[in-house]
Amino acid sequence: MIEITEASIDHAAITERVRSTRAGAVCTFLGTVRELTGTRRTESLSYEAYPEMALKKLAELEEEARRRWPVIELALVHRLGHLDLGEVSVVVAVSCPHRQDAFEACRWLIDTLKEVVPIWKKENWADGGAEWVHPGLDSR
Amino acid sequence: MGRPKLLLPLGGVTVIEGVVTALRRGGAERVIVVAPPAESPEGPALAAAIARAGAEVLSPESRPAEMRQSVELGLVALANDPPPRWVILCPGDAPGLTPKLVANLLELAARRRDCIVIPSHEGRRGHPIVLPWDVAAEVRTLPPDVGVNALVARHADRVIELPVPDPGLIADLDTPEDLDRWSRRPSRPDRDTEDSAPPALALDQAPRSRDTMHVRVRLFALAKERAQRSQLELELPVSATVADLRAALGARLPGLAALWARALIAVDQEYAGDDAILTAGAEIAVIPPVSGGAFRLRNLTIDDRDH
Repeated sequence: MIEITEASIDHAAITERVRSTRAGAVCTFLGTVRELTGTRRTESLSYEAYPEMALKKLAELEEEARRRWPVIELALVHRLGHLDLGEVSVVVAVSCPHRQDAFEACRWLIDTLKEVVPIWKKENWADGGAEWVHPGLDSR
Repeated sequence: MGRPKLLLPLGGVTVIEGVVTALRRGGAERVIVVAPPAESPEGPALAAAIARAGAEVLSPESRPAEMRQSVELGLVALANDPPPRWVILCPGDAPGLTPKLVANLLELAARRRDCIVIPSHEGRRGHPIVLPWDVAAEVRTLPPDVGVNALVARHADRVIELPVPDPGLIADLDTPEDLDRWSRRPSRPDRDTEDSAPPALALDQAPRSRDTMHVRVRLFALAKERAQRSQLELELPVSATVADLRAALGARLPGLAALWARALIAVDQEYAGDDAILTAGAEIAVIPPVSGGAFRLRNLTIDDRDH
């Protein structure tokens, strides 16, 4: 299951979706909106995607994860738009026969997703101002 | 044409020598020429010219009836273990072929690994064409009376075209008039010069080619915000590369120099290196570094990771 959505994400429903009687392990990762970055306070985040390419890259991630691990079910869901503190921005849920594979696949999926999938976030700071997070670029 | 057209002189060498030289300098590892039988009148002279240019000569005992049979013979010779990744099919009479065109075709093939690459000028396709080996290997499965073009039709969804600025680059010699035009071409582009050398005479009476193409570039995140638009329209030289695109973006919006330098460029939804060649219809996007990623690599693909 691959999805990018402006609606809030029901992570419990997604975890439920990947459960299977063939699986002995389910691993769900949630990315959530953190208030503090160092001493700076975040009020909200805004996510933007290059949607066509993001969906394509997510599908490639699923394919590659299934090639590397004995994945039974897998879900990659990313939120777009405005997110308040604590909201879920991304869900990776994986079911496998055994826990080691589920952990490894889940970890690889979220790490790789954050490097190759064209989705960007903008910090809306509590002290005013906003900036795109583009590592390596001074975006202010 | 009275005498074998492949042995006609053009630019100080024979037509066939020029073609072999262009293929080799353009990056072809092996060049095999399927020639007429050694006993035929022109056989020995042709074999000598081909060998002079550094290609292997394949002389069947009887003259192949169709071009498709010649292609099949050449493919058998190339089917080593492992076979090549790509095969370039080129008629012997391609007087305009240059090393640059061959290199550009191979580069595009390397970037779009499963694609058939065909040069085109204003929508008209020409020679040579690059076939991935799995497609080339299907030649022997074609019925005897069916040409290689049937393979291109069968895999139409895998075809990409490389636009070229000059129809002469991809034409062949079919009539005496063709060669006459070629030999009278006052400033025929030398095979060692850039393809963009202005042609004095177009082979097919097409209007003088435009040397630029129009591309649309999608912008996201900081790029979109700073440019205050979600896409830019640019004029680029035909066969421009991603590096040329970066330069053009810098010229248009110099205030964002760091962004144009650091962003990745996606072509048809794949990250593309600076050497990648752009085509007019390509979907081009500027991808600023993504939020979670370190973007350590300039050409990050999923396959490249963790191996």
